[in-house]
Amino acid sequence: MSVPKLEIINLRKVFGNGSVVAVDGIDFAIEAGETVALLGPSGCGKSTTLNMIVGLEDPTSGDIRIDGRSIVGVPPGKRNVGLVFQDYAVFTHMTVFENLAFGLVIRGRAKGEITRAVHDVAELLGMQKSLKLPAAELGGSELQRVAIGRTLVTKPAILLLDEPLSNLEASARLAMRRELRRLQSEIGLTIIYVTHDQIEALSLADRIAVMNAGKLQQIERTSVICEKPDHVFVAGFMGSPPMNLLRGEIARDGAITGFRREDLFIQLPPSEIVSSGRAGQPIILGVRPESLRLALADESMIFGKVTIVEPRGPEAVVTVEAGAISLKAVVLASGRPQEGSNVGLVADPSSFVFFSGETGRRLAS
Amino acid sequence: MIGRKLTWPLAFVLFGALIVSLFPVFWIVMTAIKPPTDWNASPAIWFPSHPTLVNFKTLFDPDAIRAYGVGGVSQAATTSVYGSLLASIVGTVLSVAIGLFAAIGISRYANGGKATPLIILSGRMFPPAAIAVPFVIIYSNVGLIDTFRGLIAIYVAGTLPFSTWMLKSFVDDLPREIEEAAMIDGRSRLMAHLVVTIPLIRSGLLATTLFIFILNWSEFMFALVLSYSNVTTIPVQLARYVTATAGTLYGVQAALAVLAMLPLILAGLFIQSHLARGMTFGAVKR
Amino acid sequence: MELDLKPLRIGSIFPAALEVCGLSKAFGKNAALNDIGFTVPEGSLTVLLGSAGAGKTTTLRLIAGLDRPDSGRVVMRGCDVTALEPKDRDIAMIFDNLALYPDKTGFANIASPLSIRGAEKSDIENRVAQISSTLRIAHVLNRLPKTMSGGERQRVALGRALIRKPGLFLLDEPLSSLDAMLRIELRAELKRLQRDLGATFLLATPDFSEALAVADSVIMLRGGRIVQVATAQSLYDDPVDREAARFVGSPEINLLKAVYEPANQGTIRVAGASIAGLTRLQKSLPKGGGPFEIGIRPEQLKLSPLEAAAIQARVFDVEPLGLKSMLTVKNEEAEMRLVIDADSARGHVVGDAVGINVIDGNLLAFDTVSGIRIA
Repeated sequence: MSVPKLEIINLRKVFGNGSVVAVDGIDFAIEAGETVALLGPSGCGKSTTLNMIVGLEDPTSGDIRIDGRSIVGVPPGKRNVGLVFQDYAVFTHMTVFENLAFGLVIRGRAKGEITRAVHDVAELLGMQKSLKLPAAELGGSELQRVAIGRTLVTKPAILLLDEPLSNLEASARLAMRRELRRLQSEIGLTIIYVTHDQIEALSLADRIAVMNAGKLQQIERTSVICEKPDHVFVAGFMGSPPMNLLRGEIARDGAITGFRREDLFIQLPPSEIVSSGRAGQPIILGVRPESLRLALADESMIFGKVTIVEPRGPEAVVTVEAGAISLKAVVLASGRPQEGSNVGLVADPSSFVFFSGETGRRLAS
Repeated sequence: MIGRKLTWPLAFVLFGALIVSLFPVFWIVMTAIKPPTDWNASPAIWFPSHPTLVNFKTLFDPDAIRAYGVGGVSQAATTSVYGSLLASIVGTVLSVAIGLFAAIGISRYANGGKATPLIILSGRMFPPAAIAVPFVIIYSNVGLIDTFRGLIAIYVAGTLPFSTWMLKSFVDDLPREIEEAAMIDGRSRLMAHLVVTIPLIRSGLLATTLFIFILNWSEFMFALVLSYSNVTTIPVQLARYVTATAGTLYGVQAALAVLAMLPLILAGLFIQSHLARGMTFGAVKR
Repeated sequence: MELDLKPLRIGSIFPAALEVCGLSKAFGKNAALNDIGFTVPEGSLTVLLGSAGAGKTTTLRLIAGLDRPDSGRVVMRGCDVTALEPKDRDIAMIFDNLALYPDKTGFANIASPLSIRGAEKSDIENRVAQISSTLRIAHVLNRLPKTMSGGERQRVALGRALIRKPGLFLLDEPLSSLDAMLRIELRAELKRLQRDLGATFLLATPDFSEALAVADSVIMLRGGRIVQVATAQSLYDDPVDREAARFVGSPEINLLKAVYEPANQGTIRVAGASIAGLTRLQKSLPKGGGPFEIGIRPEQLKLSPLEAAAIQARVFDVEPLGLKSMLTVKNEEAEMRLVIDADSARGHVVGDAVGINVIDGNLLAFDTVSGIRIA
């Protein structure tokens, strides 16, 4: 059995004498050549985790292993990980070549070796022509590439990128995402991205690790995580807009079983969840905005007032409120209702996802 | 952050630098408590065997030193202390006040265009010795010789480039949107600068004031040539402690120097916390 | 959420909240604004949309009175305020870096517009309590800005702007420093607040999706000039030129060289194929035919079996976007982007041959030279 490239074992980081728990016992492993995104809102602990992997912070407890060997306590320069900072931190007083060569020069490598390595990386990044330019003259995406190149030259075991696209203008981001994906497939490095932007994570990662409040909520393949969120937090985080989540319970109305929340009752077809005797227990119903369709009053599951219509171009996000319930639906722009009008929403019950009202974990359906 | 151990070579260098910079202070303090016999002793005496306060007494009572057989101190040092205080304090306050508004003008409103800051700085590029004599002549003609008005004017003009430049950099560091938010909230432009800009550059302001004060307090050349009898400052007074019989009265000079150091040390200690608090504000960071 | 802050205006008998005419401003040789004129109706949320350097911030600053225009007028509710200081114009402004007073508590920050004008202490306390409970920041009132989170600081800035109920709110990229998720949450809140208060908002942003989501009307700026004024949906459906079409919409619209051949049954040659049956587009093209630039939104392209497809191409890139994926395909004539279900995308790898069909819908046509929309 091959050893995972990176293992995080029960990692904890506490600041200020225990008052702030930044990272609360997370575990995961990353295989060689994989790209994983650490995704979560500000303050979820993703940057602290990154800092501990790089060595800028020491864990309070737990272990970090690269290729099976623990690196806790090893100084950052000796861990063989490369970090690309959010604001690039490119040396503006040096040329591109000098920037790329920096890591090897510090390690005292031979001049010929350095030149070869720099040229290899420059070719990979398409920067051969810019090698003699002073770094101060470069634009955002090029600085990004220099920052990445600088770490690649030292041939790290793992490449870490902290919010790599956040400093780029919207137009440059798409091109950069494509570049990064090309690099990933060409160099086959193990890469970890830290980001708060799910589009970035979805676009670049093989697996996404969703973090919240210091805990790892779910780590799952990108292709699967949107469709099968394991936890209510992930469901409410991924997707734009994220999944609608309704708290309620399974209840009977005569011979029919369904989901009840106050006045709302949605009939559910027979399934494991419905028949498992969960009546009365708190349950969370998840329905994707894309799965909800506009319908006439008598066919709809929910009937309410349109409070907000947010155009998105080809579609619009419609917020419908009925009593205390608020649902978002994605409809075609041409068919969007007026704000203030009354509409009904309906969805195919097989698209519903259920979560336990107590633990938040997804229930198999 | 991973701590760095204090390696032996580094400690050696730091210690050496400390000794070199503190040695003059040590020597002056020691000399100030030496009796006249120890002043010129060879080999040098590090710690006087009979420390005395007569040098300090002489500053205020010129005859005190005669007890040791040394004469010729003609006046008490008190007038020079008053003189220094007056010239330096007023000079510093004026310089900082004018420099503050100049800095705000240049930083926020680009008054005078791109060349102005450099033009202001160029005022200090002249070696004072080269313009000392012309100034004596000009001052004599205008009747400013030997007046405090005249000396203070020179002090202000000479330190203005520094105060403007230093304060400009602090104002530059403050995002202009904070004052603009105050203007939108209801303050007039002037009030916005008085009430918002100035308090927020407090630490920079104190650092600049201390720096300018030190410059004025230790200024010798202009004080010497532009004053005769009405105006005396400490540096000038120090130079007067030379007699025909006993030569330079090092002990008395040292005593005056120690007194002169005190306000600076006190001011520095007082401001230290402000300086250390740093120039980062945090509220407008992303 | 119950609000007992009264709406700021009643009825539409007042003149427009803001009218700007002939505004020009140059910084040295740089002409930042060139003859800008527009109207902002009372109670609306108008967005100034444009990329960095288009002139959005300059426009807002001129309206606020922080800079003087070289020429032109700023008129608020019928009064010419061009010569007035910011404090005498009835406005509030939120800067992109928020500009909270760093040495004052949340309470003092929010209260400052009132306390500067000498309001009663009890009055101030009441209003601050009201606003902070509406904005859910009562818990940070005693803290300094540097101890607050990004979202909390944002709301304190909002509170400071809202407390005086001015006639016009100017917002300069207020959400740009926030997390992706927080941004979406807060922009909906901004819209809700604006609606509930009946306030007039003028919001500047480079983010078209923000503009689309919240605007009643969008003013698009480019190089210091107004390019288009339209509702959000119209900006997407009817852009005035190809730059505007490119700026609004993600993935970006496909702009391809095309030729209209009315003589040849009205087919349109594009991407190496001759496509017939695009009747909506054909009706609006000039009768003489000829070359033009066609604008096809990614959702107007669909994958079809190779035999039934008009356009043949190879997959160049697959970008996962969650439940959907963006496919970039290329052939010798053109490169195109389309959006398909993540499921369908899984079956394709780079290099695959695929067939593409164009859906006859709201296709756009631009003049090849000037870029202006011709159909």
